[in-house]
Amino acid sequence: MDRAEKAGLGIAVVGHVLLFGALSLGLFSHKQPEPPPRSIEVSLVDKVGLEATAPQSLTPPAQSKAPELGNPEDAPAKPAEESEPEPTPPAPQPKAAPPPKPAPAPPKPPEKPAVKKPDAAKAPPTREATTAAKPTRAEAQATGAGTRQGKTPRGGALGDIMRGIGAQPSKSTSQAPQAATMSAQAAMDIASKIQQQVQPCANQQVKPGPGAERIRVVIHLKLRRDGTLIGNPEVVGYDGTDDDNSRYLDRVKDNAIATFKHCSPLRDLPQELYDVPRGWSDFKMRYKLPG
Amino acid sequence: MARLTNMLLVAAALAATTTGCAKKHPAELPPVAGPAQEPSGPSIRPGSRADFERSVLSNTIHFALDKYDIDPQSQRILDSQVQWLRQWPNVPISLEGHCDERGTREYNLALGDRRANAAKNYLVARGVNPGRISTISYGKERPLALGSDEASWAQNRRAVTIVLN
Amino acid sequence: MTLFRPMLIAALLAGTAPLAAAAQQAASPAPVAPQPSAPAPQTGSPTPAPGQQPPGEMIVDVVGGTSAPAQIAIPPMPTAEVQQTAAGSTDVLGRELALIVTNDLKNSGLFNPVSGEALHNISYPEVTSPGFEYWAGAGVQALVQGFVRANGDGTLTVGCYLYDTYARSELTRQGFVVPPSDWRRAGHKCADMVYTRLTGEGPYFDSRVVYVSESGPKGHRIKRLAIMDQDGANHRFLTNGQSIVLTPRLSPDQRSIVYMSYLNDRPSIYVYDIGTGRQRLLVPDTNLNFAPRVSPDSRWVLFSMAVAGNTDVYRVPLAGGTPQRLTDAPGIDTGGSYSPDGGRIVFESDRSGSQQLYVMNADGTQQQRISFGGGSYATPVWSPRGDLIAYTHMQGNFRIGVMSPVGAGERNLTDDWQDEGPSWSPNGRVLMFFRATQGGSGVADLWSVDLTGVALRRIPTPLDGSDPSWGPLRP
Repeated sequence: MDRAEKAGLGIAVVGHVLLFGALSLGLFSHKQPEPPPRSIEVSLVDKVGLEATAPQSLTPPAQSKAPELGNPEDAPAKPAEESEPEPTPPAPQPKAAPPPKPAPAPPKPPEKPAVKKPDAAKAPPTREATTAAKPTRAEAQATGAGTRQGKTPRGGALGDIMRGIGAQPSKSTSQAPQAATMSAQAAMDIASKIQQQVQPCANQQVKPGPGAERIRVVIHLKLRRDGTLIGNPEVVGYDGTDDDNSRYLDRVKDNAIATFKHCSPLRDLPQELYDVPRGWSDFKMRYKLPG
Repeated sequence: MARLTNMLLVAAALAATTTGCAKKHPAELPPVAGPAQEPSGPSIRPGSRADFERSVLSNTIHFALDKYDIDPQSQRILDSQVQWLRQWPNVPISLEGHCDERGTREYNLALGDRRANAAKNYLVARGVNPGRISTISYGKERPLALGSDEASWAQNRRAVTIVLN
Repeated sequence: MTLFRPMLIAALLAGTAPLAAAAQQAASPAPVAPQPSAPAPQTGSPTPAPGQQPPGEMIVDVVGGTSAPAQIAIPPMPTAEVQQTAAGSTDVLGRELALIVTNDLKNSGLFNPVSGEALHNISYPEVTSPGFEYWAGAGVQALVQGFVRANGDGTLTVGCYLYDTYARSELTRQGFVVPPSDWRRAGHKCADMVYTRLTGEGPYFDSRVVYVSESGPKGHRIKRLAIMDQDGANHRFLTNGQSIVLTPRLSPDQRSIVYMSYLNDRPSIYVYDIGTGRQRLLVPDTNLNFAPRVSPDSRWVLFSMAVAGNTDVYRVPLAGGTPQRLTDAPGIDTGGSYSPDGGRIVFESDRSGSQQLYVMNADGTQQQRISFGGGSYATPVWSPRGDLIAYTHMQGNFRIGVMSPVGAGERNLTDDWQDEGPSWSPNGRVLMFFRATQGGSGVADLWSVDLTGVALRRIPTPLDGSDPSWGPLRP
């Protein structure tokens, strides 16, 4: 090997070494800044899944009227296509259900079915709360519909389409978007608003005697959209009575009802949360004396 | 002449004696004989309450708070009462028990009874006939001293011996 | 586990909720978050975790109230037609009746009646068509209206109506027909109707009190038996003061008064017959007997007798008979009082060295001490509703106190130099006692206080007084 070749080889070797070193030091590479670890918002709510996925349609959505009455035995594939343009998911499938009434849904106040549903749905949600288990799709399907049968509607392979749809036709005229349901946080906010409005009247209630402050009374309230009471509040439960204070129970019941009636009608409550599940059309108030 | 002189002498002697025997009202009466101590005033009948009260150390003994014990001072007083009671064995007496106001009404009735009986028992143990002794409790109803202080209360905690005649 | 953390936090919040809520009492409310309280439901309704809203429903928690006396208005009671009666003219009676109701409710300490110019006269038709707007606007929620009518036969009819002006509704009504001599009782019955409806307590205004009226110097008090309505009206002396009288008690059947007298220098218990005005010796024993109390069925008299310096509790039939001894401790046992069912007796004894409270069966068995606090305890009385025993607590001062029948929860209701001898109202809510002042010119007077410690007040009597005994509710 002559001198020129040696020099050339040497330069090449040095260059390779330099290049190798530079590369290994990463001087030529563009370092992508590592994305910061994403902070995951953890909300300590025991039913995280429910609100996010299957909204509990306790007020069944308004029946979307089919243009024509169909035979209940019709294949569900057809209704699936028809339902797509519907704005409200999941659209009820009248064909899969018993034939809907030809007349428009009777103009019942939308909260009427909701009144019954909370009683029926109360127990299952409590069970869910105590188990704190992530609800399965099947459970969501069952409770979301307000029925617990999970009756597989006709449609076989398209059974998922029926999720959230009850076996009975909905008589509701609710136009509220089903996604605008009352989250736990929204419910707390509304409860806080209502409590602030009735607090002055609560403060005026007179304690009948020693020990009465141990009694708590639950009253059931139904309101119109304008915040006025429908009928009289009804006492639906109480606790904290014993031999020493049971004589004061009736008076605490009076106080609870008076607290609400004297600060009626309620004002400035959001209309869009009126007749949603947990809406302020129908709720309970728990009252007790301080001490 | 000698017989006239004799008659005159006899008459004079008779006159002298008769005038000497005549009731002559003295200018002042000699003092009436009575008890030597009393200068003046009504007499104290022996065996009476007044007689008792001036003969003994005291007709009253005192007690400590909530107590009915006969302390040494009370013993001396009761002993002096025993002396007099022996002298007058048929005179009935009553023993009154009293309390101070710093107790409840019914309890004080019972405590006054205790005090009266304590005094009675002491006298009986020294030979006084129990049949002549009655007891009565006044609780806190008849205080002697009216203040609301220790000195007044001490005076009111007492048993009083009353001669009944 | 993270899922339990919200419950823990909310429970801590719940602990502070009563404090925050108490701060809101009767004051202008500050906006606060809902105040949850630790739930312990007994009615089967579901209990969401505090601070949480359960799925499917919204719950609003509200804590609020005041212990201040309730506002109430009692206008004069009109009459349709002014008529003269043996008790007076009906329009005057109507004004007086409203005052009786007003004073009863005010003196209970639980009500604040409107007075003065705001309390205007009402017309007869307005009695059943109340001016809700006016009273609700004035912030007076409770309204009592009534009327007076003279019946043809000499009796009077008094109508009594209670309204809720905020709810615009009638709460209750009652009518009373009374002979003219008892016209004031109609007012007390009306007050009782209002009181029971608005508090839940039993009635007590239509009742009487016997006590010892006192006069004269401290060293030689004149003491006379007296009886009066609980509001001080219809006062009557029953003895003339020549003998000391002590501790009178009304029998539950309201026919007799048992008391102790020094008549003939022989302190003993007598039974005074209210109907005939005559009295008889109850216990034909020369021993000192005192501290009488009648059993709830009016058949027995509990009393104390001192024999040779030892005092025990006995009982004897009210009609007379052989006394039966119930205690035999060497100490002083006195002051017995029956439980409302007549099955047990509370009394005081110094067998432990100081006066303390004991409970035993009505036959004298199972005597157990129940007082263990500092100081000593005396004059126990069992509440007519059975839940408490009141007494004189002596620890420096003499104070009126209450404790449960097993001796728990004792507390003093008064705090003065010498408060003594409590007696319960028929509903077990108010205590009457006597308070003595110090010194040579000291006197004793009747006072009363509510169980909660409010409404401490002096009872007006013509002279001074002691040893009050509250009789039962009149039928």
